[in-house]
Amino acid sequence: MTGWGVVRSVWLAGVLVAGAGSPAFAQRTDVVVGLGLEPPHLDPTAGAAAAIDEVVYANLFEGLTRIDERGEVQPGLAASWDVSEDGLVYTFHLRDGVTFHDGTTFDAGDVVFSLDRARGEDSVNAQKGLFDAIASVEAVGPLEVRVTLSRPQAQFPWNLGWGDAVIVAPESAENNGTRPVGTGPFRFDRWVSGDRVVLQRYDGYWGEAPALSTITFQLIPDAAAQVQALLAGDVDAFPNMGAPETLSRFEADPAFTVAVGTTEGETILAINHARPPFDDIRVRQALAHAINRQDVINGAMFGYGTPIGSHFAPHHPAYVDLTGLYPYDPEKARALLAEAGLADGLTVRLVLPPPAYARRSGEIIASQLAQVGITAEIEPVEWAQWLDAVFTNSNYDLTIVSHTEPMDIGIYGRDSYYFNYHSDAFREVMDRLALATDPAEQNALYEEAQRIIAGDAVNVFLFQLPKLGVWNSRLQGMWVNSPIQANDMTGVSWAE
Amino acid sequence: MLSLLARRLLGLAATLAAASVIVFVLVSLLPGDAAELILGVNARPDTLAALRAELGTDRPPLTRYLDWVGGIFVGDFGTSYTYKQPVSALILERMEVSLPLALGAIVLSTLIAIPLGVLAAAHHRRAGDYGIMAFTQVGVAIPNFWLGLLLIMLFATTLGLFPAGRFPGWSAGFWPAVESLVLPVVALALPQAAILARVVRTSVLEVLGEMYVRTARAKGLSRARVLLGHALRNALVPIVTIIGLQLSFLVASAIVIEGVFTLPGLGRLILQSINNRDLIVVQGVVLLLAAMVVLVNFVVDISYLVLDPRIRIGPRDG
Amino acid sequence: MTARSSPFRHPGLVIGGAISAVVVLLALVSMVWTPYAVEAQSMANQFAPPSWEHPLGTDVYGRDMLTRIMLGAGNALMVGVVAVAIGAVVGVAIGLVAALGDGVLESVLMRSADFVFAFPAILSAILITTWQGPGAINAIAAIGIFNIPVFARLTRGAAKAILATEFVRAARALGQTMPAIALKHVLPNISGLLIVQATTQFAVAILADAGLSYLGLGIQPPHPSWGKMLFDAQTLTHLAPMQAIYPGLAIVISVLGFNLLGDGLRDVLDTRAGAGRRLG
Repeated sequence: MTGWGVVRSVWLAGVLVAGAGSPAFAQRTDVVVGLGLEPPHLDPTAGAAAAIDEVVYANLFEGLTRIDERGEVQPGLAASWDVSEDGLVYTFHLRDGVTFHDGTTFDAGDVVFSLDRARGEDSVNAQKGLFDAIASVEAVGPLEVRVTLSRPQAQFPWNLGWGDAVIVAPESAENNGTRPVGTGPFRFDRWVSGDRVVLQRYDGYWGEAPALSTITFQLIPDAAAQVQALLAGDVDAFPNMGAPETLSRFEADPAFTVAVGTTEGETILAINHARPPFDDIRVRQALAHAINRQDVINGAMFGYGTPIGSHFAPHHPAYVDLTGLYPYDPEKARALLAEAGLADGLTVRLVLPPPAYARRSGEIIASQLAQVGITAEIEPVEWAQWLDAVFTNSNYDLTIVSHTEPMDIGIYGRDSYYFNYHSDAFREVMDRLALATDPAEQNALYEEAQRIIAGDAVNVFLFQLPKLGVWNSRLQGMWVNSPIQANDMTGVSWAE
Repeated sequence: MLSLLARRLLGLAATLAAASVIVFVLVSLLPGDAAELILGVNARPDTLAALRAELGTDRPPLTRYLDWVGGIFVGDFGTSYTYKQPVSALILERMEVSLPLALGAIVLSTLIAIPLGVLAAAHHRRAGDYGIMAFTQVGVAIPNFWLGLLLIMLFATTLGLFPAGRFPGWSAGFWPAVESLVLPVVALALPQAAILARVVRTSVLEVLGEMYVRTARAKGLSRARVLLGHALRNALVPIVTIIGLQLSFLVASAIVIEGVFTLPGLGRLILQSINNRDLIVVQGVVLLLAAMVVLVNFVVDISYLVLDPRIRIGPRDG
Repeated sequence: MTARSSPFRHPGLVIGGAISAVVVLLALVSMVWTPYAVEAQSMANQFAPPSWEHPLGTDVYGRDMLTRIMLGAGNALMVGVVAVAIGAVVGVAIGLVAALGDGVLESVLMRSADFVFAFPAILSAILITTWQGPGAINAIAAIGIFNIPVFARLTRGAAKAILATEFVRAARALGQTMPAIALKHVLPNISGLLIVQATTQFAVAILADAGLSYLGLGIQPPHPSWGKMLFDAQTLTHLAPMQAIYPGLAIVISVLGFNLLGDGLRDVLDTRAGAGRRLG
């Protein structure tokens, strides 16, 4: 269950028109990439912040495998691997001649160290679950590592492609937060806190040398300033624009490429089933009927974003379009509420985390709910409060959030997850899925899972979060889609 | 005079000690914790515990407080939970932006305000006064962040004279760094100058109304000498107070202005640290700002003694 | 040419009074009636130009801008009045007591004022709202607390200067008690300064609230505030530039109006300023 087929991409202005650069100028090899959020530190094995991976993934750090733009697993520091018949033993054949940026040699010992560190008792890895199936890791030879699993796990090589699974050296692992040392084609140069991180080409790189020599990740949190920086040429590329409304400024301009791609982020109006009346399916259905998805997408996202009817990415082959299940119908919503004994309406708390998509969707949804007699009191919070109150302690009625982890429909089967949804039917499907090996069978099970949670109106499923990128149209090889949160710059170059 | 100084110094120390406790308590009240934020939604209880142990946030509050304060005495403000760097290094780095910004704004606003205020007082109820007051009225009324937006729209986007924001760092050269601070300094200084000019004018007028100035005038001193020699000198008490007060206001405004101009200053550091629950950084920066303001007020207090001879001969301080 | 005899000959007072009246009226009306409901949206009507239905056009969600500007006026006035009242009442009392009291009391009071002051308004507001959640009441409280030391320090500084004058020392020699001196001589003599400061602080309070709202810490949606409207408009300047102009103008005009009114009142009421004029 590695790649999931062709990723739909929407190009509003093609990189094909690039190439108009004047030959009188020498080829540029430096690039300034804009970031909306600053990485707290640069160690991808010790934090969940997407901004860390957006700087270091594939550029500075490499794992045994890597995930490409289509979301498929490719060989990384492991040139190849064999899997035993029973799917329990993976033997990785490591590349020869790989060195870390501090000059130390990469070998099987580093792999054992990295994986044991990530799954060990003192591990502070944000995705420790990726390594759950590992029973043991041993170096069979200097360039051969054997990983034994406690249960078959078809997506194991894909797990190892995450930023949280990159290979680090015991000599430098402690200081990776501030002075990261990896094996990638770019090495750390400097970090001006609050402003920029600079990477330089690493001349001792084992693979093909990248076209770029310097990458500057420039921090610009403010959406208006992002536009200014692009227009002024201070920043060459903004892979994730902070505000969708700013894209229209670049669409007609041939100097810029506007790339609207997809992410793995299902944006939902999450409902707390542990709180009456949301344990009543009629109330949840009423919520679904009360919300006009297209108006939310138009108002909050300026039309960018695909409507979804379940918790599943539309670009996945197993996707089923369930958006028609509970169409926008305020009359029906009111009738359902009346049936549930709430004819006089109700007042709910709508908790909103900081991202603009959540705050804006929240304002629109509150207005839509008001039309069916539901008063939504908006409560904006920061991530710290959201994690604490909503996510950890289920202290909320409704919230809006985008679930950005790839293939995460399994969260609906977790105990005491913050929706507090419980369905035996769904869990049974998940159990069968864990054992399924045939892709067709897997897809059928995924479809069933989507139908169950959509039918139960677990949450109101709003839209798939788009990846909105703008860059200099002479820049080639930028990722349009975001199968993982990364800015892989290894294949990026300037057109001549 | 010396005992007064000693008393003020003692008060200063007590204030700072109290500040450290209050800052610590206030910051501890914030809901949520750094470990949850660092590890995100897929964190396991055991990884959270491991991280809390590593950061030291699982220790009892008193231990953490004593550890923190003890460190400060030897110049160690602790290590940032998220940035994994010494807090003092983070603060010093951000000071390269915040200090020039605040000082630039204070200097510019004072340079504008004192001449304007004195001029207005000298032309009291004449065209010059009305003109200057109209100007300051508008200046007082403009929110500095809106002024910042308008300055960007005019001088950066339309005219291209100054960068729209961001700080290239002093390593990029003196002029590029200064250039990037011009618009934010102006956005901060103009509203402050307007406030200060009004205070200068009022204070000078108050002093002009007092008996002894009239006496001096009667003794035949020139108008300019009365204005500058007596009136301005004696009006300096409220003026210095306001300038002192402005420093703290500037630091606060800088939080917003640094956002508008995308400058990596202390204001942004503190906002980000609050959001990340990087409490050790929040504590350090807030205490530092508090110490700065307390020190400035101390200096203002002392300057009273120098600037206003009447206080020295007053009934109690004499 | 005696301005005191006829308040209406003072142009600042008249203009300021007129602007203030309009702003207050708009704010009061908004509390009982607005052209549209606060939560009324119409996505089909996004960024509608000014028309009879929407005199100032509509915003990104198709909401009536006039309605939002009016509701913003109500919010601004409430913040200004309450925050300055808190600051002035508490601050003047502390300042007077400090100036009159003995060295220890003065020290304790002024150190406490310094102490509150050492936490800039926006910073304390951010901490308060992070702890208690954002909202209008917390924003007002933070701005009000910030105003206390401003009035306290100013009152104490000016009061000490007056207490040191020969005139007051003479009154003391004649056996007048300190509280009597404070009420009879000090307070009237510093009232001019206080009125100027109060108007300035009123402006500062509205501006501080605009700043807090701009950071998202003021009154919460769907209730609008001018600061939040400016923040929202910032990324839309290429689509709807007027969205970034109206709320800013609303802030400038109302602050200007109240300052002119305050200044005018002071000029008309204050005899000491008149003395200054005679001298000049």
